[in-house]
Amino acid sequence: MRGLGALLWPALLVLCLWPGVLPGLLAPLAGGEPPTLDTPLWRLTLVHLGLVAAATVVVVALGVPLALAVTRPGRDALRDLTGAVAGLGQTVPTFALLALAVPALGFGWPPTLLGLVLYGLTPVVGNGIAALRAVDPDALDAARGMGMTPGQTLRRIELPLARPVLLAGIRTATVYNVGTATVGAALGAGGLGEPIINGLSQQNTALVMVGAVLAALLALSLDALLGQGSRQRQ
Amino acid sequence: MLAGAVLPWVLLRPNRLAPGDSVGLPPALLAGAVLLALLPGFSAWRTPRLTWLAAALTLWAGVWLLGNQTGAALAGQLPFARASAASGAWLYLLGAGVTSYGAARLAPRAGLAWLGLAGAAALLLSGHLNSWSVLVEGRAEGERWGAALAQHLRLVGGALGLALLIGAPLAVWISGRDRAAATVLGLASGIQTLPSLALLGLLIAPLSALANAVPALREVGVGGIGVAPALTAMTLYALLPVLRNGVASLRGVSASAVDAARGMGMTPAQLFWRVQLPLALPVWLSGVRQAAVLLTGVAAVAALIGAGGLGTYILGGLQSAASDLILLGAVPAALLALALDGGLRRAEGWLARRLGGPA
Repeated sequence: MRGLGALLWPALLVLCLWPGVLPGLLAPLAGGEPPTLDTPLWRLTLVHLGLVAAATVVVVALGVPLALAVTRPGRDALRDLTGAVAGLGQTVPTFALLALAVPALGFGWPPTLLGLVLYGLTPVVGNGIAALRAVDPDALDAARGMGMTPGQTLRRIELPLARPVLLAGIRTATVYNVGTATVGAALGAGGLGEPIINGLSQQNTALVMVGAVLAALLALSLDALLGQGSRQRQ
Repeated sequence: MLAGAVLPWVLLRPNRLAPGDSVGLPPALLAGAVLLALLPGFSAWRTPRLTWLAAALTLWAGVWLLGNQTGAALAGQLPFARASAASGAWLYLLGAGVTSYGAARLAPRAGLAWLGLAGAAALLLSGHLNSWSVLVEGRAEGERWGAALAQHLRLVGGALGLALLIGAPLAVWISGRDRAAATVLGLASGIQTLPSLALLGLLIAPLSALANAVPALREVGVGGIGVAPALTAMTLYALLPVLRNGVASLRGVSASAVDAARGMGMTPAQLFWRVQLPLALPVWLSGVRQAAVLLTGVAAVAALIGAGGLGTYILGGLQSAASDLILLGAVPAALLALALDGGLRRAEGWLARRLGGPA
């Protein structure tokens, strides 16, 4: 059942990206005319994926070392503060955060990427800290007893034990960012939010649906695929 | 230990106002700002108990400098001139905010560190910040801004109320039924996976079809765009935290407490109202808090489908590339979310102490 679900959403996504399929399906909404787009759907989807992927790379590159650094022994206060500040990031509304970055960074990709990175950091840092803290102290003691250096302990004991929860955080961050990137279209970042926003301003429901269906399928597909990936590695 | 917590955050801040396009701080004020930025770190190192005072001073001074400098920049300019805060001021204030957050954990009483915030609010009310561009725009908007804020709160409150009305009984019902719980929670987390903008968009077609089919509904304001789809989407979003924490908290009630109550001869209704619910409430409330914070964000996006609220300003500002208008929507929306989070957190702590449940 789960295996089937992992394939169902990507299959639907590919089907909807097939030229003419989705606009044809939505044509009745626009009085029989299939909605027309300036940019082909596959390109919007790729731009969207590119934004999310770039953000995820930065998030992992920043978040994982940060979580590692603050969970070393003797840095309890720093760890609590980092966890609290990272949690604070998710409290600020997406749209507000993206918009706040515009006066400083201009329109387009830079403010959107900044927003995506800040949002993605919360689950990655939060889960990273939780996962590394949850590593069994007995396992660490045993490693030390075997004469492992701190670096070896990290590589051979802590990271493998923390990996499932850490990967779950990365998955959450990626899936949330598919949604945040949609809002980024309001700042001119392109992607699947573009047809939604254009459609809303032109009162063209079919155009809105094109973007909404694809963004929803993309989020569900990534969630299913990443979930599948982390299950297999365990 | 806690000194380490404050130090690195303080070093993050540059100490210039409005670099680049126009004015930096004059040398005397620059030196003062540098000293103030170092003060909390120094104080955390030497006298941790007084860090709150240093942090409050830094925050207050940041706001005062902003007012002072925008006022000075505007002196002798045409009335159309706007003096807005630049990256240096933002970073300074952000750093001061984080420092206060850290200092609140060091202080003998958490409230003390936020004295700086009270001081900043006093400066705002006394008109010291009036030449800051965002407030210039805000004064021009006046009542309309108040209406947008009220609409934002109405949207959040309405959706939260609906989600509780549906979610609370549902959570109680499914908490004892494993299969139903798996199905309902799976469905709710599937909805959560959908991008908010996509969900808002997806609701347009069915709701406008509904309004066309049943004209009576259109009379009460149900339609493809506007408040109806926004409320529907927001309610669906809020359901997951309400349901998930509801089920988790009700299941987390210790079996021995339930056994003891049963042994005392309580009826199932008494058991629920007197034992299970009070013990579950603090954890459940934290789900409500997550929902409220989430909804504040979704309500801002809902402006795109014409539901009003603070998002209207963000959207309008983005369309006309007027950053002051963006800030007029974005800053209050962010503060609202933080205030809701902080307020409900306190309520959770109070309830947990009051009811003696797990917190």
